[in-house]
Amino acid sequence: MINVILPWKNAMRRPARFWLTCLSIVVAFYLFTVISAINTALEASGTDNNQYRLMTTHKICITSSLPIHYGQKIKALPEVEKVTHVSWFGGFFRDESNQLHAVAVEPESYQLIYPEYLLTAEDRINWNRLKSGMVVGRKLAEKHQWQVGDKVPIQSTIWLNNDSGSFTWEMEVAAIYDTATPDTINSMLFLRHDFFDEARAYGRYEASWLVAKARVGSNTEALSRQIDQLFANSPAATRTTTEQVFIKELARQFVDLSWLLRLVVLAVFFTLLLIASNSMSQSVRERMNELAVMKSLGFSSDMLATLIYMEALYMVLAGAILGVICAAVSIDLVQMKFATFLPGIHIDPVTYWKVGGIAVVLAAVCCLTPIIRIYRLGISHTLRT
Amino acid sequence: MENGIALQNISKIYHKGSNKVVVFNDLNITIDKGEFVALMGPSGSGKTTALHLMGGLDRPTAGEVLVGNKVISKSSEAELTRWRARHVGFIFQSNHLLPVLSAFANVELPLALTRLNKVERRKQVATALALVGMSERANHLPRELSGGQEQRVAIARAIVSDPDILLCDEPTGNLDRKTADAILSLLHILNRDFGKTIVMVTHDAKAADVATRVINLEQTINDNADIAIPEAMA
Repeated sequence: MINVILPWKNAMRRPARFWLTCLSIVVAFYLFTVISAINTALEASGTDNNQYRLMTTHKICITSSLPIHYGQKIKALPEVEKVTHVSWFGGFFRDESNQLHAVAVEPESYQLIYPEYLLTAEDRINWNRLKSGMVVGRKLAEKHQWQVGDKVPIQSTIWLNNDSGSFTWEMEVAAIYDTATPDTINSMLFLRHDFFDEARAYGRYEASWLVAKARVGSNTEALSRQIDQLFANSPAATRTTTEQVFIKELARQFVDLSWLLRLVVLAVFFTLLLIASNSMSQSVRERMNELAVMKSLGFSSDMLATLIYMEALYMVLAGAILGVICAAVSIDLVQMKFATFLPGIHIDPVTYWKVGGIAVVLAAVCCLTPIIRIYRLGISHTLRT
Repeated sequence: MENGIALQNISKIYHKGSNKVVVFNDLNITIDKGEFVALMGPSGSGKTTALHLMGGLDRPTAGEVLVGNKVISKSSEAELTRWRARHVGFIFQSNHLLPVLSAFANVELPLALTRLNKVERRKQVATALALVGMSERANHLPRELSGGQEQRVAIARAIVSDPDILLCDEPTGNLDRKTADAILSLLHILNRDFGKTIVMVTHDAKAADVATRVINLEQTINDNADIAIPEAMA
């Protein structure tokens, strides 16, 4: 018990110092956890579903469109099983702070390639029947309290609607989808490409990207090259990659600062180490007399070192736990915002173990100096001073 | 010496920069088991150094420190630590209680080094606190106690593990006369009724009165001889 209670009481002798040091630890672990979550999201794109999904975009720029009929040529390749086309709609609901991750898709082929978005047979029939119907993820529906049958005006920042003469697109909620895995985004909005194509004022018969589902076991790298060769000399040359690479590249447009953030995290951890070490040294220096008394009572240097280590561990663990909690809350908050680029951004369980491991090591390093002092402590000399 | 304490041919030299400070040169003191000895002498005569040598808190430059049959001056740090936990209780001028622990927890501290279970520990702490008359204040923090009460708790901490030897470094130095007398009579009881060997460093002649023998360290160094106190003072 003494190893548990005494270090805690010692740590809380000066609560202001404890919590201020803790704060620097919180920042370091917060950054570490958030960056780990981003990396997890980037690395988690290689699922069974998407390892054979190939994304074809315009070679020059992802914002340039491709003719929809490219899909037919791609589908003709022997190693391609299915093809679908997707157009980026974007947009927002009511005000620009409610940004939507909306894409126009061809329902039937899209669902065959993306089975992770779960729809019932009834939902499918409903969507096929309703041209202006949209399918939304449950999370998005819950956020805006949408129900099937609701008519919702969606504002586009890109596409002018010929029918309304404005950027407003009125659509009806045809279905609400669930997801097969937690990594799948459940805040998307899908509208029908035919409805979108007919009503948009420009860019008809074009799509933002095409998705081909390669046959299982096929060489996706070779197939990607094959697809790009098909359109090499056309006005809209293509660039094909696996979906995993596509998502990573797309995400990096927004979060390519991750390498820089890693450096920042390293710098923060280094600074934190100095702060925490200084705090621990100061704390122990203030009570060398007490430690000398404990030694005179029969406490060995090892036992005192354990007590000091526990004290440092409390401080680092408190900071680490708070940092992880803050990171979890903020990741939850930005999940909707980054859903398209970082699907399934979440804190991996491995991160918790890493945080624990770092905390244990960090506590050991930051109490190294005081522990050395304890081993060198001359009882008689200390008691006289 | 019957299983008591013996400082044999002790030299102690401190180095302060390039200067050497000789505290003792060939000091010999023997204290029998069950004695209550007052170590007296002017400041700088080495009273505290001698006490620390007896408790294994410091090592002589030359000579041997025997406690019982053990030559503690040759023991390793780890052995000394274990030995202190079992055989020696310290009482300091400034009581050095841990400010974050209650009186009870402070007294319990040395028992954390034993194999006693919680119930046994609590029982022993309660006995020690009762002996020094501090049962009522068991749950108080040191800052909530007076100087005399703190010193009583320090005594309880020193005796809780039932050591053979109590080494006291001016235990009444910071106390008023009345409180000091109460502490001294407590030490007297511990010596008389519980057979503890007590070595007490003091400047106070009245405090020395309760001891069974006074060793004037200045004279001891000069004459290398103990002074037996008159029968009447014992």
